[in-house]
Amino acid sequence: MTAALAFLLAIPVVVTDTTHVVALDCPGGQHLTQADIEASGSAHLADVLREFEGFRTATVSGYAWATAHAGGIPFSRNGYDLLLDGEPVSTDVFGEQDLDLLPVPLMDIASVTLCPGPGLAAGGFHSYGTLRIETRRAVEGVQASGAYQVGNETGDPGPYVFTELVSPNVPRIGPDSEGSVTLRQSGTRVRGEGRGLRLYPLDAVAVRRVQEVTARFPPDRVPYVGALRGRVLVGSGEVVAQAVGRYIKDLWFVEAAGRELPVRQVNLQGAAHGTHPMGRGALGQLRLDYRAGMAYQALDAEESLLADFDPTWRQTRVTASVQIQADRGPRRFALGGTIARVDVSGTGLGEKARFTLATLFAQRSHRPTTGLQQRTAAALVTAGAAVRLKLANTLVWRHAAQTWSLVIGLEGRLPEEQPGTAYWYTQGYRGFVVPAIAYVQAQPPSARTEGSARFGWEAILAPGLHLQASVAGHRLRGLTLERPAFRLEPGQAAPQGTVTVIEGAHGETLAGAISLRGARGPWRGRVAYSLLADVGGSTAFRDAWERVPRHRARADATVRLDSSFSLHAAVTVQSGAEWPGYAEVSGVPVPPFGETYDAQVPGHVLVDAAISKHLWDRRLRLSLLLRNLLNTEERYHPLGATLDFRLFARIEARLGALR
Amino acid sequence: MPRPWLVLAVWLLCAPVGAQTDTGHQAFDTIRLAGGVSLPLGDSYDGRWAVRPGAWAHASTEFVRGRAHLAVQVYDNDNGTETTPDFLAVQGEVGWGYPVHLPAGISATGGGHLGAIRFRFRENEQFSGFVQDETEVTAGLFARAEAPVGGRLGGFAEVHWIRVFTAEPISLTRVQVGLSLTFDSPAWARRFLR
Repeated sequence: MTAALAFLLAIPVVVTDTTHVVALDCPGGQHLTQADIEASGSAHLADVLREFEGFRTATVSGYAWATAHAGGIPFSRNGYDLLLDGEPVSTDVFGEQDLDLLPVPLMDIASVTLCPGPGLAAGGFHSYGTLRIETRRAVEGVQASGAYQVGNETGDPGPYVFTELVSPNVPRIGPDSEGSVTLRQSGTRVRGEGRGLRLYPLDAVAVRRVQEVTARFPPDRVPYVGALRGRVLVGSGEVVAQAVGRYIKDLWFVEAAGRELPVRQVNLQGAAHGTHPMGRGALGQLRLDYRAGMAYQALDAEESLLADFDPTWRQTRVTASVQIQADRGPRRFALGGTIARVDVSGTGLGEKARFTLATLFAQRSHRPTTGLQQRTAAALVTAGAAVRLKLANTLVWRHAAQTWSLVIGLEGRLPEEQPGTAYWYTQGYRGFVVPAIAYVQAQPPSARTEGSARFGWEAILAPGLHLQASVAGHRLRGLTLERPAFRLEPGQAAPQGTVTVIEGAHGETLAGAISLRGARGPWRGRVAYSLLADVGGSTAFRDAWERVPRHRARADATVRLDSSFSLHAAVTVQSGAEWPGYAEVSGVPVPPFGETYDAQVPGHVLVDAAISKHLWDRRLRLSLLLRNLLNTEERYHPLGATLDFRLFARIEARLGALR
Repeated sequence: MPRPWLVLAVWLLCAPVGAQTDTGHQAFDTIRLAGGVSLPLGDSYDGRWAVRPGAWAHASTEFVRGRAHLAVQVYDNDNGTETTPDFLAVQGEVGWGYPVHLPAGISATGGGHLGAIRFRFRENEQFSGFVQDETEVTAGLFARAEAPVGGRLGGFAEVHWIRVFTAEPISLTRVQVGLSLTFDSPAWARRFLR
């Protein structure tokens, strides 16, 4: 699989033993192995984001996480595109990605790699890089795995609920279940996967807000995700196919509505990818790659108590792409194109809205001298009469134990490439309009431009001691931002006010990160620091970046006492942030418990610990995860839950051999 | 109320002095099953409920230079009024302790535990609209003394302190006494656990 992926991407992938990726494809990449994920005690897929430097994450419920990164608009879209076993997958709903809506069970993940730079991968141009999830390889025969997990946040009233010391309930997490069955025979592999998760957002500041919108009692968020994925050899090539289905009973926080909305989402995706060698041509060894896919997305109200709330939404997206690759020694070329057709119907859309997005792309990589690698990728994207160009140039120089990299990107982006709430509002969609919030939009979203440069340095200082540092700058023009101005009336739980769409916002950002990792005997450790900040720009841009905590430092240590038992501890220190537009909801008591919202998101010191034990020749694994042991105020959003000390217990079983 | 953290810290500092540990054993060599009664020490709910005697059971084995255990205890909590319901508390835990062997076959073990407690409220028409049970996270410390009685049979006494992470934290201290039975782990169980 790795070999196939490396060939597809026309690059070598080199993974060191201490979680660094040093390759032309992924300069400055960060890599987590299954052992890292297990030791860290990750309870959900989104937890792996905590392990990477350079992000900031935010959540309202404590469950669905949005990320901020050096490019784009903070917390409006994740800073990566998802590749699962080398194939593009998406959980995108109006530009938001929830990692936990992927079908793959946490225990089946062999590695997760974050590649931050722009460039081509898996038949597409990825502006902010990729998050690559590789699952465990199956051996011949049948294998099955399953996991069950319960979580508990501390701070419930317990028996005092019947006394004058009564206090509000806190969120309940789980039980969560996930599993997979894999069959592999003579090069053919079929894998069925499923996950079912549950969360009760019962935090004191959210409980009335949530109870006002849904008849569910207790209110819950329940995603079920299933997938069937297969790989079959066809002649000298191979075909990979996958089908993914999702059913989500959601309480989805939408800022344009100022609150959670009770929706039901059904999502069906099917995709196929074939690769076939085409013999030798003038350009070298040729190979053909083709992909086709279809995704259907339906959104409806689910047990709603909101008057006139009708989020009805149907979207069908059909994509096809073809790519020819040539390999001639140190030089490699790729040329291809993608076409995507999107059809939408929904509330307020008089007739079907649709657009077609076409992309032509090319890539050339070569090694001019020993240790030096260079890659240039270009893409031309068009929708209707609009055309934009994207360029990315990557230079990697490796000498002895050190690697330097420079990635420069210049990109024009059409609104159709990432259509969010503002884009569809322009088309007429009114599914998220609630009476309390006025959504004000004077102009439709326009194309934007972005320039970026990222310099990275990695060094092996001594055996088992790795240093990684990077600095990146982004210059953004023509952004479309949603700017809230909320207030809270006494006795109300949900904000009122306006969300104004600002066109043409612009600014510059700076990101820097440094981490030192060490391994000695049974010990693994890391210290890291990252900076993420705006350094100039329009008022709307700077307001959006006020939300982002600038500083984050982290230290963690893992000791593997034997091959089956590990202890892990981590300390994370993060600065606070201010959310402009929420000042007038701060300090007003929220019913029923009189708690208050706060536009100031506090800085925090988090201490986490995890214990992991394998049993029965690694067929069973037990893990205990303790989050926020100091019970510090862990909150990420003005209207969000405060996440207290919480404990997760998890049991995993694996039958048959997986590598 | 004793200061459990302080007591354990002193014990751990003193434990290595002149003492012999379980290092002669490999992980999961033996299994010890124990059970008995537990008695409350002090007031746990500011006088709102009276903690009743209860029952407990646990299983332990050698693990990482000490002994790991799984345990469960059950006890009633009576309020004696009509305005607040009585409830049954069931607490389960996983823990680890460092044993010190003393003369005459006596051993003393101190350690910590993590677990969950379930409060099951008595059904009552007055509280029909309320939740019937709640589950909370617990953590705590223990100090245990064991002495041989004869053969594989041993006597067992433990002071067991639990912190329940409710919004208004609850501290429960109990004395547990009972009998234990120690035997070699069956080969299949040793293989499974290792």
